[in-house]
This record gives sequence, C-alpha cells and structure tokens, in this order.
Amino acid sequence: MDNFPVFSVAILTPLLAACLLYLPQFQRKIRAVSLLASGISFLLCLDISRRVMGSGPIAESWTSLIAGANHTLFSADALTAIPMALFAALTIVIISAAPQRDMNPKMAAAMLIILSSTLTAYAAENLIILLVGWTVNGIAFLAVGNRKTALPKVLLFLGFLCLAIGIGFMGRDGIKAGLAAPWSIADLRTLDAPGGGIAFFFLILAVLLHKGIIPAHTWVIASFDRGPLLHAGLLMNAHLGLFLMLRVIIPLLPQYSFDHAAFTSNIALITAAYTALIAISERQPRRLLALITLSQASSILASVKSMNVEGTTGALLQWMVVATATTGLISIYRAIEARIGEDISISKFMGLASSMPRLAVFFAICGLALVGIPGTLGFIAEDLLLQGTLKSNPTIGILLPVATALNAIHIFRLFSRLFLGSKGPQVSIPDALPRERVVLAACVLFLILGGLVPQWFVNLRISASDATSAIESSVGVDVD
Amino acid sequence: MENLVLIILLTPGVIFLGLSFLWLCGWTIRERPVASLTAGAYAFTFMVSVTLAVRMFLSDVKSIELSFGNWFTLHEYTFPLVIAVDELSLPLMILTIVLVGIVGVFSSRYLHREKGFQRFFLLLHLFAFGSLLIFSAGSLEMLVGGWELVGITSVLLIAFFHQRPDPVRCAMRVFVTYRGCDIGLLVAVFVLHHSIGTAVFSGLFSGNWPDQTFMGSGGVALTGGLLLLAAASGKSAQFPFSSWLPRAMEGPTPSSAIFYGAISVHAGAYLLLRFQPLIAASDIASIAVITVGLITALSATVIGRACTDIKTSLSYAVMTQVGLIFIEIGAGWKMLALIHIISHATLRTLQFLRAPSILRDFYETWNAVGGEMAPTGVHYEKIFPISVQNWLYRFALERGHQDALLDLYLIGPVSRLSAWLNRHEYHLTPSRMQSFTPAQVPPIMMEERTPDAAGRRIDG
Repeated sequence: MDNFPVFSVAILTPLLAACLLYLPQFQRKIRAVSLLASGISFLLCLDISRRVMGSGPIAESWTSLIAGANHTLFSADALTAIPMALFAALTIVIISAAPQRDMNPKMAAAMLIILSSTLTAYAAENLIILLVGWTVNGIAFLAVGNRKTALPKVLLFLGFLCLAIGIGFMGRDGIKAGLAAPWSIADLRTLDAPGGGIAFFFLILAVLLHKGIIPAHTWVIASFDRGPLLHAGLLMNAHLGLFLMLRVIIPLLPQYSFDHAAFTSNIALITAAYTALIAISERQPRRLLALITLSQASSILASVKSMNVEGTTGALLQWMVVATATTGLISIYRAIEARIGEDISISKFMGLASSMPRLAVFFAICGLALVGIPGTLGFIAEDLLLQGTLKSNPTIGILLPVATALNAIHIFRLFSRLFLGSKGPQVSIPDALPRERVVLAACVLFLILGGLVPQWFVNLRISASDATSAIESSVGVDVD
Repeated sequence: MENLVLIILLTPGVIFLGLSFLWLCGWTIRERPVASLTAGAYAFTFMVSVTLAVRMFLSDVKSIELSFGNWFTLHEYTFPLVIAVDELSLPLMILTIVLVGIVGVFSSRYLHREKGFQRFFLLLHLFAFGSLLIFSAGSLEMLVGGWELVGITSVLLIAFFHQRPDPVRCAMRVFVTYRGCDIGLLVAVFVLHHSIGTAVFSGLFSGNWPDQTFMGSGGVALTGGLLLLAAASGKSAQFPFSSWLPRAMEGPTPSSAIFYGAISVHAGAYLLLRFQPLIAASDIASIAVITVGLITALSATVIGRACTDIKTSLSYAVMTQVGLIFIEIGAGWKMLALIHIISHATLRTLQFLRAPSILRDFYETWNAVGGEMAPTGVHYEKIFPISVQNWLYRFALERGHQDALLDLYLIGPVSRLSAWLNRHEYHLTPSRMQSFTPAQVPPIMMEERTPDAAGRRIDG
C-alpha cells in the first residue's frame, strides 16, 4: 500500500473525470461523475493527511518515467496535507450545491481541473510542477470566465509571469550550484537564498497579484461580479498566493522575506481595511461578497508575516475558516440566484427568510463564523490573528480589528437585505434542497466543531506554524 | 460548590442546544412544553444559585475560582477556561436567573401564538447563557465570549419582527454600534495579555472584590481603562453611543425588558465595575468614566422629558441611571454601584413589562383616586430663562443631536469616502449589471435617515 501513487491518483482522478464529462454517455451524469472524482480525491487527501499527522512528511517519486533517476515529484508535510483535504472537501461542497445550470460539461470540468491543479500546486516538490499547477488553475478559471472582462486575464497572466521569472532565477542558481534536481524545493533549501533579491521580488509580486492585494484586488471583484461565481470562489479559496509564501518564499528566502515582512504585512492590512471600507457603499451582493472575502483573506497574509507563532497559527486557522465560510456563503448566494434570478440588488429588503429559512440559518452561521463569532472556529482564528498581528505591528495592526468589525457589519447587512425586512416573494420558492442541505450542514458543523474543540484544530496546524517559526528563528527573528 | 456553579452556568446553554437541535431536525415543540421547560429550568437554577450563595456565606468563602485548564494552548499562549464567582458576580448571576425566569413566564403569554415563539425562547436561553458567562467569567477572554453572544442575541431579537423593515434597520444600527465599540474590548485583551502576561482576573488583581488592587502599571491602566470604557459605553448606551437604545425598542417588549432594562444594558457597567481597580489606577481613566457618565445622565434626563411614548421615555431613564452608575464606578463607590445595578434592573424590568398596559394602569389609578391626580414631577428646567428652555427643548427633540453629530463627523465622511472610492472601482471594473453604481447616499446612512426623514417614529 505504501507504493500506491496516492498523490498522482488524487490529482489525476479529477482530471480524468473532466475529460469523461465530454463523452455522450456521461452527459446526463455530470454531477455524479464530478462528485465521484472529487470524492476519491478527498479520500486520498484525507489518507495523506492521516499519514502525515501520524508519521511525518511523505513523498512520491516517479523513478521509472524519468531516465531511471529517482525524482520526487510530490510531497506532503504538515503545511500542505490539511489544505489538500480541505480543498477537495470544498470542491465537493461546490459541486453538490451548484445549481443545475452550472452543471454543464464545461463548467463541471473547470471545477475538476481547478481541483486537480490546486492539488498539484499544493503537493509539488518541484517548482516547475508548482508553476504548472498554478498556471492550469488560472487557465481553467479563465476558460469559463466572462470573455468581456480583460482584467482577471491580464492580472492572472502577470502573476503567472512573475512566478515563472522568480522560479527561473531560482532554478538558474540551482543549475549553477550543480544540483541534481535544480528545481526541487528540498534541494534548493541547501543553497543560500537561491535567486536572490530578484527572485524574491518577482515571487512576492506573484503572491500579491494572486491574492488580490491592492491594486490587484480588481481582478477578484471582476471575477466575482462578471465571472462564474462558484469557480471564482474555488480559485480564491485555493489561496495559492499564501501557499507560495509559506512553501517557497519563507523557506527558501528567509532573510529577504523577513527584511520585507513589514511591507507585506502593511500592504495586506491596508487591503483588508480598504476593501472593508469600499464595501460600505456596495449594493451588489456579488461584489460585496468579493470585498468581504478579499478583506478577510488579506488579513491571513498580514498575519503570516507577523513573525510569531500566534500570528502564523492564526493565519493557518483563518485560512480554513475563510475557505469554508466563504464557500458556504457563495454556494448559498448562487442557490438564491438560481431561484430568483441574477439581477439582485440589496437596495431593498427581500425577505427571503420566509421562503428559505434553512438557507437563511446556514448563511447566518457561515457569515458569523467568517467574522469570528464565539462558538465557531472563526473566534479562535481571530483571537490568534489579533494577538499575532498587534504584537508584531501595533500601529498598522489596529486596522485588523477595524476591518473585521466592518466585515461583520457587511455580513449582517447582506444577510438582513437578502433574508429579512419584508414578507418576501409571494410565489413559492424552494428552501435548501437535500443535496444542498447535506453539504452546507457539513460546513456549519465543521465551523462549530472548530469553535467547541479548538485544540484539535490548533494541533492540526501547529506543526506547520512551528516549521515556519523554526525558519524565522534561523534568521534571528524573535518568534516569541 | 464547584458543581453548583457549573449547573447554574450550563443549564441555559444545554436548553438552547437541545431546542436548537430539535428545531434543526424540523420538530416544532408546542408552546406549553417550551414555557414549562423555561419556567422549571430557571426555578431550578434559582434554587441552585441560592444554595450556592448560602453555602458560600456559611463557609465564609469570598470567591470561588474554577479552572478547567485551557480551551486551547499554543506554546506559551493559552486561552484559559476560568470561572470565578465572588461577591460581585454571584448577585448578578442570581439577578439574571430571576429576571430571565420572570420574562420567560411573562413571554409565554405575551407571545402566545406569535409566529416566532420558539425562536424567541431559543434566543432568550442563549442570552441567559451569554449573560451568565459574562458575570461568571474568570478572564477577559471568556467575558468576550459571553459579551459577543449577548450582542448577537440582542440584535436578532431587535429584528424579531423581521417581516417589517424598521426593526431590521434598527437592528443594523445596534449591530454597527456594538461591533464598533467591541474593538475596544478586543484590543484591551491584547493590551492586558502582552503587558501583564495574562487576562485572568486573579492574575490582574490582588485580593478579593471589592478590595482589589491592579497589579499593572499606570500606563496599562490608562490604555486598558480607556479601551474598556469605549466597549462599556457601546454596550450600556453611554455618550456618544447612546442613540441606539431607543431604536432597540423595536423588539418585543419582554426582550426590551430583559436586555435594555435589566441585564444587557448593565453589562458595560459590570465590565467597568469588574475592572474598577484598573480604572482607579489611572486618574485620567477615572475622570473619563465619570465624564461619560455625567454627560449621558444629564443629556438623557433632558431628552427623556420630551419623549412622548413610554418605551422611549424608559430607554432614556435607563441611560440616565446607567450614567449615574458609571459616575459611581469612576468615583470608586463599588458597593453602591452594585446595589444601584441590581435595584435599577429590577425596577426597569417591572416598568418595561407593564409598559404595554400603561394606559390601563393609568386609568385604574385615575378612577381609584376619583380623577383627582396630582401633577407628577418637578420641572426644574423652569428656573432657566425662556431662551435656555427653548434651546433645551430643541436639544431634547433632536435627541441631543447625537445622531446628527455622528452622521456629520463620522458616518457621513466615512460613507462618502467609501462611495467616492467605490465609484473609481466601478470605473475600473464595471458591473455586469449596467444600471449598477455605488450608492449615492451610502446604505448605512440611508438606513438611519429614512425613518427620521419620513417623520415616522422609530423607537417603540
């Protein structure tokens, strides 16, 4: 069983399923095939997580294919294993909750390719594979995106270009140093700052572009507003920019990383506050969801760069919270669009709670968890984020609680405008369907369990934050 | 005694979880079992709390601190689960149990056949759990947990009649105020944690309440005191955050009684009373607490005189008394403040619960005395010149100009800045819905101004 190519199967199964969806015999079973493929991926990722948590990092090599040499292509450690399982689970949520109109072969295939490419990027032990995963991820989204919007294309392409240049400079140093595998992350760690300042500059630029940090936030807004919402949510919740920071930039370029930590942290905090500020005057729910997601996601990056254990663990927990809660919110909002049409404005009260009480409750819990209400994992994550960020950055750090408070107001405003304030539509509108109910209940259960037994969730992420802290200690940063 | 404390704290929480589970499973429980369960649970909890008080008194125990380890640990950073019951918290816990029980019994008739009957009781139990958590918390982190639960239940109950827009708008206003002021509490946790190393009360103060001393420096006392004052002012509707309280009267009368007459509105005063040793360690913080209380008491009593409906009048009367309690805390009169909180909460609960029957009560009294009722109150404002009286009347009618000032100097500029920035965002990324532009009058302001502009009464 140890020789079973678990990574490859987890990555290739959704890819294969995406191809199968175009065959005529599977056209009427799109959701079933998609769920089966993502379910297999999820179970395999869960197994990877179990093995990593039990006995440390695991890897997969493709010896026979590449000239007999033993090349490690995929690996998982405490940092990557949990996000892999989480992302596969969130894809299942999205596929289950997606309305029928989003379940055509093209849209479903795009979801599966996003899953496959994200897992590829997460598990990549080799920078070229990471680049491939990152690129395919963006292409899959753009393939189903609104063709009239150039902004996401331009900014995602710029992000890819920056990543390619940064990786190129790192690989060049690997080749110069005579490494057997010049693109291997493990091998590059033996060098002192591979790629140097130029690689760092381009990689940071790739992170900022992909995470939608000011001024690149516009692609996220455009994607949520004009693109396919569920795919935009998946793309955003992959948090590949954050992952690049934790997997490549901090371990390979620790000194550069910490020399410029204040810049990254400050610009992320400013993004969190700015997006929360402009959301005050936003009346379009899709754009409002984009701004809230951006604001909360930016706080993760700010906290990763706080250079202390509380901040890093808080960021890793917040990653789980933002991904789960926003997936729930986006799925619910898309379900509403499927029922009452896409031209929704929150200028007026819609009173949907009378027709959709269960969706209203799911929306409220996901929203409140996102902004850190007690009894949910969000409360723990916010507590650690605040401690970490204010400790390292007490002046600009104050923007974090301000942004969170504003986001809570936005969530309540969106909830009240969608679900409260009037008697609602006079026609019968279905509440949560069984398939929606099951996956949304799972999201809510995850968020609440995290709030009731947080130690288990903290333990899941503590090894990853310890690893980051060890790197910080090695360059003389006081992690306490 | 430890078990008794746990029974008191957990009973409402367990009932909430049980009822929620049944509701989520689609089982609607009939009114009578819900009412009986509520009455029985709070009668039982009351007996347990009295037993606890008697046993503490007989064994001369000043305080009980229960530690359940850490909720979570992250190397040196811990989130301690500490429950503390002392001479400050126990009376307020008993008060909460008694008043929630009374309101529960009252509501079972008042909300009879109301569509949201079960929802009201769910939120009432969650509120009771949150309040007991605030009063029994042994650390500021746990207090924050209860504080947030009370805040969210408060907002959800204001929007109880959710099919009308006004209650939802008012709930929004209250939520904005709560979340804004809660920043003070969250930052205070950080300040105490990183300056003293803990936010557990036994680590912050030496001795037993009311003879405690703060163990930190004057600088921490000043910063922490001002942050806590901001949080307490928001929760207790003190200047400059008092304008939400009349709006909160949109909720059903029983919730107004328990939240804004009794427990929730005094949570801020309790916070300051709990941290009084910290406030006393800084003269500036003490003066700030007194000043806020004084301004609120004076303005609220003037405004209350011009109110024409009972619930609004009561809300300003509440503000006045809570303002006086703030003054007492700032001056260091701790025991007086505690007695004031308990007596005030009890009286206001009665007044709020009788508010829907005020006309009936008035005519009963009027008939009983044969129509010869003496005028009530003394109009001290008559000692002022007529121009000052006119100014005061205008001041009262405009509710102390607080909304106008907040709109003018805070909400207005922020909303306009937001709309201006968002218009540029729309230029960069036009909406797929061509008719969409960012709000010209930003939504938060619209929500607040619409009722006033239409001349409608928004407060009860």
